[in-house]
Amino acid sequence: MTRTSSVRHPDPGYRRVIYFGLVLLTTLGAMSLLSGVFQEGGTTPLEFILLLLYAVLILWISASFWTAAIGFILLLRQDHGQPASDDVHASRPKDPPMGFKTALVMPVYNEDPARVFAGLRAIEQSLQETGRAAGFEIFVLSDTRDPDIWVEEEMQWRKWAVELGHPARVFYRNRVENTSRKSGNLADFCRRWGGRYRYMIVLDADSLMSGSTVLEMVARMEQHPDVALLQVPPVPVNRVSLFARVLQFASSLYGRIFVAGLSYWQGDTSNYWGHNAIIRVEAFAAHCGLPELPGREPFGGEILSHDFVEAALLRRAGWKVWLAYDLGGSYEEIPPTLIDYAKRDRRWCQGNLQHVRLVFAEGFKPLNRVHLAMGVMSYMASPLWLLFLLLTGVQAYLDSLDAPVYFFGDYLLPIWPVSYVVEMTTVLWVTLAMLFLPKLFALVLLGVRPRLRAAYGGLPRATLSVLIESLLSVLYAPVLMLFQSKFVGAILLRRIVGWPPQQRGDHQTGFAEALAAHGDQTLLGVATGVLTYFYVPAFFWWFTPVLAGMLLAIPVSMATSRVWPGQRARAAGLFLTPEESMPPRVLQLLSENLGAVAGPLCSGEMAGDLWYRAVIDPCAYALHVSLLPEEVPNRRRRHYLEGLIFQLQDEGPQSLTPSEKRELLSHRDGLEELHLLLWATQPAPISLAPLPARAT
Amino acid sequence: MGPPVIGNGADLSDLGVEVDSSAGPPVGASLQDWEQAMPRVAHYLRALGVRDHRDHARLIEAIRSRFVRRVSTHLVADATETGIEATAALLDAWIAAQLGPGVPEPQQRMARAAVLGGVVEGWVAVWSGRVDEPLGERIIAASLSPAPEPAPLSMVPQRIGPCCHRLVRSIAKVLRGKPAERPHQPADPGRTS
Repeated sequence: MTRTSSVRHPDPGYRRVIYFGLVLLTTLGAMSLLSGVFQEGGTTPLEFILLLLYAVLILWISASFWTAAIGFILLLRQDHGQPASDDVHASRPKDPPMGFKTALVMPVYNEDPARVFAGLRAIEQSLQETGRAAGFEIFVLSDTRDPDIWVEEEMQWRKWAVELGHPARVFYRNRVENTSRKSGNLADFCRRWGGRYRYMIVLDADSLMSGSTVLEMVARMEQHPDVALLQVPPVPVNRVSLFARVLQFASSLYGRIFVAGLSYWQGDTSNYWGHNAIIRVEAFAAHCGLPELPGREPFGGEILSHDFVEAALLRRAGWKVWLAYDLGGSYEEIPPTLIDYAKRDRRWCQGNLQHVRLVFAEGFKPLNRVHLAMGVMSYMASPLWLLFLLLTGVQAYLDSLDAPVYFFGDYLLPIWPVSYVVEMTTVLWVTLAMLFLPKLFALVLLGVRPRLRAAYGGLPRATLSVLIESLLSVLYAPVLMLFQSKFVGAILLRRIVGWPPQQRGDHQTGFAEALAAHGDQTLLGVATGVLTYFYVPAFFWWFTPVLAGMLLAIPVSMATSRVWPGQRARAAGLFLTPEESMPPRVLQLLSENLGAVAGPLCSGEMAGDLWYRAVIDPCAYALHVSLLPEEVPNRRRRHYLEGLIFQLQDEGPQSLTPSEKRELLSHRDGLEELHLLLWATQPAPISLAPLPARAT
Repeated sequence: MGPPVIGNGADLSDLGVEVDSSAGPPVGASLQDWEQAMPRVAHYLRALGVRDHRDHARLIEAIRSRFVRRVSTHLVADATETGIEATAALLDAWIAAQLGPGVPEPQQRMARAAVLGGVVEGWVAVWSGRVDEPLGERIIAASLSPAPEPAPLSMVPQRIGPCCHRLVRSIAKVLRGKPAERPHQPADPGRTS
């Protein structure tokens, strides 16, 4: 399909020439320095491997650095900075014509229903405040398997739907089978209801978007009929632990620079990040049905990280994919602790590594191949760094065995060994500069943008925050390197990752959890420290930053998971983000919704597990039954359900596993029978207050 | 209380489970068993949201009539279960009557969820017959559909030819001593389009 934009949107090819030219020149420059050192006396196989590894790693670092540098220049040249925390844009979004509907879709899987619905309510309330909510419908696409969460989702949906009344604008469905996970969930939505909507805005369970941003997204899609997907970068918000606040601060401050840079060189072939994006439904349905990859998991089977692939498929079909770096009002929440962050990485790692098979797939645009390769590298970089460090240690050890010879034969004057300290130091400084300069760029940007500066707590506090953040990131880096290397190793050994839900709420890491997660890293740190200290003492001091991260992993992980240091830091004006300084309206709405005292869902008299209430409580039961799909269980299924009912009667509800409870809840006939049976047993399944005394 | 029976009236004997015939003919519930069932039926009514004594008395009477009809015409195993069943059936029949003829079952279920969810105020008095007021429109208005009418789109899996799959498979086959895949052989069976 070839389409021509009706609206001019510059995406000249020279941008990519500039960007990739800079990246390659930097890489070649750094390599030439290192190879100059190695070539003395001929290159050994070990040195050659080190050179190769360094080439890959420096390419990765310089790609990131030049993205930040370009983004910095772009933002510096703008007349005004981004609105600090304001989710209402500098210019009011053009109201799009609304002769069509847009769906806000939120796929969920065992998430906290209270948070899910509070977030969606906040988005809807924010839309209401724009006066344009009528063109939007909200869909909770549940893949939830946990029976209690399932029932609570239904009750939350019901409560909200009743409040909104007619015409119905909030919908809910729970999939019978959660095939193909999130991508299958969205595909199911498109297949069943896609024809009803021109656009869908995909949200994650912790996503938030302001009403004005949502309107602006629709307006931009209307203005650019050749764009199939517009990604609005989400800013992390709402977490209070020290770990999360530091990460929020870093993402907010440096993220804007990186996103601007990405938008510059990616142009019409930007990427999809899986949520906080608007998608043209027809184009998505026509081109983004995902096949299963041939072969077994982890590299075959379902495509796990679907977003990059969907962006590539849209581009392959001729549609444009944009990154709206200039749009605010898009938020998400991040894992509260280092261990949760690593767990999220574990899930993403397999999906990204699977892309190694798609980098050279037929028909993809070159830039999409770059996205896929970068996704792979975001996890492969860790084992490569580990290998690089290991081999550097070996090389240093081998070098230490060679005693320098100053006098050869009859030659009377000493021959001094050639020193490469200058070259090696230059290599190190170049690498460090590329890693840390983006932080400096961000501070410079604050220096020239008074509003932005104030939103980050002023330049001195922001600078101090950057310094502490840099120190912490140095400590985190080896820990994450080891985690990710372990994940990559496990995946290469075909140990498949499940689909565990994320731990999103704030909670603190205990000693046992920290020991289990970081114990091996600490031991490795001790062993490496002892070995390098005794066998390669010169290398030991260079290695101390890495060793410190490994040795301090347990206390750092525990301390940064705490909420109180995060709160103290906030009180001191450290790690402030614009969203904390001046909370946008949609965040205020979320906070109000979460703080609101929830009314009883169905009968307030009944307590206990929610799934059991859906069996016993006539209100919850009637609601649940009304939401079940039409299905007549076959003979074998009936047998199975009867067995479960007997088990429930004989051994009590606690004897059932969650999946058995779900089975009981999934079939109307069985559930009706169970409802009657339990109400007919002695004693009564629930106790209720007696009728009020008869009036005399 | 009888065994669980799921779907189309099939019970364990339908499903090939042996029933002990030496125990004599089954002893069913009788009219006198109403006294045994009544307290639980009253309890169930309270769970349904019946709070007023007058409604309670009227509904108990109506349920008793259903119970009597049931035990007079059918062999029922358990009086309490029959009483609860009669209560549920009475409610469903009332909802169906309020909605009018021709309302499909899914909509009736949504209506029951709306009524029991407490959205239709005063429904118990109308159900018991103490108040004469048509509630059909209010029930329909409160019956919220969980999803809109279907508007399907076709979404077929796209063809993605991952890199080197056939090459790797051929090499693997050669290594295992099997003949390599020939070029004219069909594409990877795992490929879905």
